[in-house]
Amino acid sequence: MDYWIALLLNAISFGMVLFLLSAGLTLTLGTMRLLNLTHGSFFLVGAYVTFELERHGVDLALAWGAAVLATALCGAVVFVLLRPTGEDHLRQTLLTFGVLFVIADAALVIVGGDPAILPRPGFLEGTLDLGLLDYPKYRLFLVAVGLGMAGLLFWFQYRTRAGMMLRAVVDDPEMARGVGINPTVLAAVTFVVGAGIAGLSGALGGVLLGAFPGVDLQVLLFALVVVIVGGAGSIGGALAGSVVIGLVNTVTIAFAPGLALFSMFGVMLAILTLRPQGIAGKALA
Amino acid sequence: MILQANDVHTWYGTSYVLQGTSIEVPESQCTAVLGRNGVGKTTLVRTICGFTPPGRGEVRLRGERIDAMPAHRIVRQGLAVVPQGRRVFKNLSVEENLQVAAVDRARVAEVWERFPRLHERRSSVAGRLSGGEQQMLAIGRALVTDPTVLVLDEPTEGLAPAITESLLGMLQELKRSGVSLLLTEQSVGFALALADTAYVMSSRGQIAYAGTAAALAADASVQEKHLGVAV
Ligand SMILES: Nc1ncnc2c1ncn2[C@@H]1O[C@H](COP(=O)(O)OP(=O)(O)O)[C@@H](O)[C@H]1O
Ligand SMILES: [Mg+2]
Repeated sequence: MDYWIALLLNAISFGMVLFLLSAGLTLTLGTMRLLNLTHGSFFLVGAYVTFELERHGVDLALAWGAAVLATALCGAVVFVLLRPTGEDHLRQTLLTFGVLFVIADAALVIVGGDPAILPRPGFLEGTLDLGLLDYPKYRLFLVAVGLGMAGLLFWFQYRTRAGMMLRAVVDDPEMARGVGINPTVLAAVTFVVGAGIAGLSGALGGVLLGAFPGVDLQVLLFALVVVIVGGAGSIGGALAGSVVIGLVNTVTIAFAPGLALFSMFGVMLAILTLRPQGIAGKALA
Repeated sequence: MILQANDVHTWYGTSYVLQGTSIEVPESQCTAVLGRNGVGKTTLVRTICGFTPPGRGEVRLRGERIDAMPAHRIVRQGLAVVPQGRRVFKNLSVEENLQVAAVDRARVAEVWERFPRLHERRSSVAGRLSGGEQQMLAIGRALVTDPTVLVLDEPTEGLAPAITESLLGMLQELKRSGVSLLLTEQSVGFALALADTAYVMSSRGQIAYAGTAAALAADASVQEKHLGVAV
């Protein structure tokens, strides 16, 4: 019993890292039709900035903040680079994949190739007695951050005017322009904020997933699968997709580690066949 | 003239649809563009509101060129569109549909006053509204941008006769309040009941007739030839 609950909590906490990772990607792809493969680099940058700053004696909370800002800045740069590609997904793919490799090489030069062990704050060391079992505090913290971020993003989408505009753009991009919504400003803000949140996923989730050369591609794969499973453009979909993929991945690794990738893509294939627009998404044009 | 299209040529990719169209919309009047399905009415509306800018020719609002402006800036210049098929934001509530477009809250309150039915349904998801209610919402959404020119593309399409009748009343009242209207229609009766000036479009945006609405109403041959109305 304890084992199953722990497994479930592992899946959910991993899912929350996936959610932080994918939230920005689903919004920029679903609302702005921007295909950004550099998204995986944001995780890497977030993790490495945290690692380097903490190593040089910066307070961990400050390092997290800096990681978010640094990735948001990366996001701004990528957004500017993407402007001339218009709506051409092939050019976006090539460009952002190129930038991903540039960032990976830069990271290799600056940080080196050894896996970085990311720090946790002291008060989140150890376990918490949940009655039925003792469970790592840090993973519970990840669940709290993930759910908090989901709440914040829901609030943004459903309670703020900018959020409503974003949903209007998802519904009918052309008509959104036709009522005075400037899609470029909205896209820029979404892109930069989404990059920052992905940076946070690296800063916090790097503890679970590790930070090493190649992790950018690995998490990019996760993020794309979550977005496809959940449905592009939907925060609720990203949350559902993250938990589903978190579960599938955690359970497969527990019982048949060799099948981890296979099971993840199996789920993706099943979703694509049964419900091509994803759990909560609308069909991409 | 509050709005002018001067010899506009518009393409969809390589498909050459408007081949030199000119119309003028006088201030505080209603101008109708009539024509059969497929002649280019919607393309003219899309050209004017910035969705499909013209490859050649110019569009002027209060004398200022707007043909190179992005659509979201044209709205801010005072030209709002009620598109064919209404295109309300289906996943937004009625109130949100107005909020995303509104220049200020007072405008939303005005729409509630004008269309009490929308106020009753303000929390409903717009996709669940009836056709008539969606049309009201599309008009309300255009009005909250505070337009001086309102462009309506085939507003009666798919509406029941009783709803069309009340739509006519609403638009007549709008016209009295000083908004300049540009209307495209296939329904001749509806358009002529509202319009002061009328254009008839034949094909590829060619203007086959221009004159007062009264003169067109009396001209059976033009109606028969271009609008398929046996008078
Ligand atoms: N997106 C498009 N791409 C290519 N051709 C189009 C497109 N939209 C309309 N057309 C063509 O342009 C012509 C005019 O269409 P439209 O402006 O919609 O006419 P109307 O509104 O008078 O019915 C038609 O022949 C139509 O097939
Ligand atoms: Mg049409």
